[in-house]
Amino acid sequence: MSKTWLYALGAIVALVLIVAIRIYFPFAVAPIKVAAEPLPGLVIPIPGFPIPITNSLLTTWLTMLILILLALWVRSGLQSVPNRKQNAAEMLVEGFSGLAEGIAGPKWAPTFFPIAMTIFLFVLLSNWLDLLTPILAAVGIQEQGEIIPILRSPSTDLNFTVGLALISVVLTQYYGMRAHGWIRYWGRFIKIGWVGNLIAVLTGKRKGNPGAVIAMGLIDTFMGLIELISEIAKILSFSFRLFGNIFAGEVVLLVIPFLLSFLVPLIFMGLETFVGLIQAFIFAVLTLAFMSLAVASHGAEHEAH
Amino acid sequence: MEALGISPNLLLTQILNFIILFILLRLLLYKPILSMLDSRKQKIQESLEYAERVKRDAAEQQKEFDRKLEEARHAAQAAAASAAQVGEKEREVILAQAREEARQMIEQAKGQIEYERKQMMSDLREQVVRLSLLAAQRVVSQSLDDSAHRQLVSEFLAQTDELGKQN
Repeated sequence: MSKTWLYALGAIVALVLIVAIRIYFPFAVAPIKVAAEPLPGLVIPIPGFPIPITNSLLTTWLTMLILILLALWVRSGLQSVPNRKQNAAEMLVEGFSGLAEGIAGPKWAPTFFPIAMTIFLFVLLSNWLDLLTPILAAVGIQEQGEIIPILRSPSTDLNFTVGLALISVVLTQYYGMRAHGWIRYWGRFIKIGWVGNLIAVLTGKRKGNPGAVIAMGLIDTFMGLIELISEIAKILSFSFRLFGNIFAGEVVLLVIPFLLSFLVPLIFMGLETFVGLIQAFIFAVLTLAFMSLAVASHGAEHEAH
Repeated sequence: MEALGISPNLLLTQILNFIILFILLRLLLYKPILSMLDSRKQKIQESLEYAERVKRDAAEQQKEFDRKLEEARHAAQAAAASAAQVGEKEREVILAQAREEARQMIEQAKGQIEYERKQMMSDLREQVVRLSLLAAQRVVSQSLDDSAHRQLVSEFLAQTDELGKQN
C-alpha cells in the first residue's frame, strides 16, 4: 500500500474517532472570561506582594520556557556552515535586524533590535498557543462547578498585553530622553516657550501683537498636551489591540465548533494563525517605529496608528 | 480594572517575565547568531579577497611563465643560429684546408713535371750530343782530331744552350 493511502486511512480513522468522542463524551467548556482565572491554591507568597498564579501566567512561563529551549537548541548546533535549523533562525534574526536597521537607522538598530525581536517572539508564540484554545479550554480544574482551564494564551490576559505596552512606551520615552536630553525631550510635550516671547513683546524688546502671540502660544501648548496624551494612549492602543484581536480569536475558535464541528473551524484556525503572526509583527514593528521617532531629531514628529 | 483582570502584582510579574526573557534571548539567541553572521561575513570577505589575490598571482605567474617561455625560445633560436654559424665556419675551414691541400698537390705535381721535363731535356741533350758526336765522327772522323772535335761540339752546345734558354 502506498504512503498516500496510509495517510488517507489515518485521516479517516482520526475523523471517526473525533466523531465518536464528540458523541460519547460530550465535554463541557470553560466559560469565557475576560480576566485570567487564578489557579486555586497556587500563590507565590511574597509578603505584601502575593502573586496569584493565573492560568495565563503559567502559560507565560511555558512560553518563555519553550522560547528559551528553542534558543538553546538553535545555539547548540551553531556553526559557520549552517544547517537547516540554523538557517531558519538566522533568517528570522537577520530579517528582524535588517528591519530594525531600516526603521531605526544603523545607530540605534543594535539597541532596538533585541527589544522588538523579543516582543515579536514572545507575542507570536503566545498568540499561536491561542490556537490550542479549543483543547486548552477543556483541560482544567473543577472549582465550584466551573472549569478553570490550566492553560490560557497570555495574549488574552490584559496583564500580559499592558505589561508589554508599558515596556514599549516607557522604553520609548527612555531612549527619547537619552537621545535628546530630558529637557529637550519633554519640551516636545510641554510647550511654554511662547511665554518668554510674550514677555519680550510686552516689555517692548520685540515688536509684535501680544494677542497673536498668546493665541499662537496657547495653540502650541495645546498641541503639546495632545502629543502627551497620544503618548499615554499608546499604552492603551498597544495593549487592547493585541488583547482584542487574540481574545476575539479565542472566542471565535471556541464558539465555531459548536455551530459547525467539522472543517469550518480549520478555516478559522488558519485565519487565527495569520492574525497571531500579524499582531505580533505589528506590536514589534510599532515599538520599533515609535522608538525611532522618539530618538529622531525634531521635524519628524508623530505618526498616526 | 478588577473586571478586566488587571492587577498590579500580575502586571509587574509579566513585566519581570519580559525582562527575564529579553536578557536570556539576547544572551542565548541574538548575540550568538549575530556574531556568527558577522564572523561568516568576515570569512566570506576574506575568502573573496583571497580568491582575488590568488587569481592575481596566477595571472602574474602566467605572465612570468610566458616571459620565460619566450626567453627560452629566443635562447634556443640563438643557439641554433650560432651552431649554424659554427658549422659554416667549420665548413669553410675544411674547404680552405682541402683547397690548400689540392693546391699543394698540384704544385707538387707541377714541380715533379718540371723536374721530369728538365731531366728529360738534359737526357735528350746528352743523347743529342752523343748522336751528333757519332754523326760528326762518321762525317769528319778523319779531318779533326779528338780534342778539336770536342771543342767544336762544346761551342755548338753552348750555342744551343743559349738558344734553349732563350726559348
